[in-house]
Amino acid sequence: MKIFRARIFVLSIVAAGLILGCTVQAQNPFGTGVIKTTKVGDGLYTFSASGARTIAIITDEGVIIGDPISPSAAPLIRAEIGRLTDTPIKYVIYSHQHWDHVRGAQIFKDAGATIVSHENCLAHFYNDPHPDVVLPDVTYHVRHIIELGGRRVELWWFGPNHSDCSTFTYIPDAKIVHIVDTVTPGAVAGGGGRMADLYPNGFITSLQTLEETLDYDLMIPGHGPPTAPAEAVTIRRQYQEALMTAVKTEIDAGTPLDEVAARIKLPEFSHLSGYDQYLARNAQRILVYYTIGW
Amino acid sequence: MIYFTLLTLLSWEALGNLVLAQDSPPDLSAPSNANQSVFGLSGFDTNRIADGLYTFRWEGTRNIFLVTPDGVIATDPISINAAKALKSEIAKITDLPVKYVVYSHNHWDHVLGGSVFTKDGAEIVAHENCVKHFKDLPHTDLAMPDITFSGNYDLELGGRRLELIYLGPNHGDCLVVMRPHPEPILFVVDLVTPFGVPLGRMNDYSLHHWVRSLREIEAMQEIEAIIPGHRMPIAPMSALTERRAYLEALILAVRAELAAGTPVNVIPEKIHLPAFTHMRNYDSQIKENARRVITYYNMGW
Repeated sequence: MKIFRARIFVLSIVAAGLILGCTVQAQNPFGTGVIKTTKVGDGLYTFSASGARTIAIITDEGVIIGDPISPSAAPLIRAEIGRLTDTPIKYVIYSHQHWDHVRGAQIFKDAGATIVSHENCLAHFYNDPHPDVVLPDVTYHVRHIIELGGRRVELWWFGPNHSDCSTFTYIPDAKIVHIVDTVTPGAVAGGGGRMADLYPNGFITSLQTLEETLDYDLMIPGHGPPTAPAEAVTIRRQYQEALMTAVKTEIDAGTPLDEVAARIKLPEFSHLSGYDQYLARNAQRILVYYTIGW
Repeated sequence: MIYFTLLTLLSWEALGNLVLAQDSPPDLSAPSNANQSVFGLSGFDTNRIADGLYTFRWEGTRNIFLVTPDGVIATDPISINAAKALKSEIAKITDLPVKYVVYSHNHWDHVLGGSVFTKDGAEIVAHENCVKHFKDLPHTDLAMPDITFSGNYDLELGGRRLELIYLGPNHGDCLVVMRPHPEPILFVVDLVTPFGVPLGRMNDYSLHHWVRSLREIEAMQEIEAIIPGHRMPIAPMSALTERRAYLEALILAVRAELAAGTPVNVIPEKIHLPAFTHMRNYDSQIKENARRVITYYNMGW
């Protein structure tokens, strides 16, 4: 049984942010648009731009990056990487299909990069095309390994969670995993709180599988702080379980459906950001799940 | 919809004493009595629409069934209790057995309770895309399909033909609309609930494909009326056109605000569609509907 104190967790998020933030944070020197770069390990960086976060793994033979984010963020990411290394960007890894993360890869593709995503993203890209979204060159089924310049990066698909094509990017030599949107550390389910486009049950299975499969000390999220301790994943999973259990208990007790959300209280998670604002909406989403199976 | 806001805030001291323990996984499967009506309608009834064509309503949800000389084709069983009532309603009309039960799509508020008919030999028919949803999100009251198909499918029995028409992704990715030939009528579940605007965030609707699908239905020259999956037994095609026009006006209005650079938190307040204010739930739902369109343009979902 794994036990930890919630306060220590919260403080350690803050501490991780301070320590890593102070060491290498750099503003974009060109002053056009805003990008924040943070070094989180050997040849491992995270960039925050256009409201989202991505990563870069730098090797002697080239660079692997995460999401391009947007057409305005992508040139900033490219410029930041240009300050760090002379080697080319060889791979772009899409975290999932949502446009707030995957627009703008054309400049990397034009320079020879290979774009990789989970195969399930293709249907979304075909069904809802966007002029700034470049289709992936390579797709994979469950796991995809990229080896470059003596480094190894693992792309994992653990089933549906925030999306049905989420890639968790694992960097074994740093014991870090990059998780976009499925976990935003220290927070309840955000995005307006409705957890729209989220698979409630698969979400839990997905995170359990991640926790059991990968050996990681830190996660890099797709929004928010540069890094968070591994416990952020566990807490988010436990919140989802507690939320679903509470909603299910009310339904089992025969509570009228329009009264269920108001009755849900999860005081053990009240320290999470967005708790007061979004708990009832999170509960509404679970009600939809239990009443229509979506 | 309820927006319940403030709950108890624990002090930092209380937090410090709080211990989160990781126990064995809880049982999060679907509760058996989750299907309560959200339409404020109770009871059930059956209406005869045309020769051999009936519609059955259970609370706020509706299906059709086709009585032929060789047996009955039923559609969405809705729930165990609804299916039992449907079975007794059919028995008042014919002694013949239900041979097929057709699912309109994958959502539990329409497709539970099929076992009431399969135990007497009925076969379940569904679009093949539904199967993965049923496997991903199993439900004890759900009967798995026996017959699946891709594209369109003609189900024929006793000289009648129920044409199952797949329009691509719209509300989920396995929805079919049903044409009970030769009637100029289409059974359309969830793509339109006549005379009202959609509820809330329009969850699990692919907006552009929804509009496309409605336009494709409007282009079906032979169809004059629809039987919707909720509420009233029959409505004119113009109700479907009104829903499509509302969606297009909403999408265009939000798109114009985004293009003008209006902050996304302000956009819902600015969306007014005077041509549609007569629609049921317009005042309570327009902002939520607008937020859904913002999500689409922000995230592609």
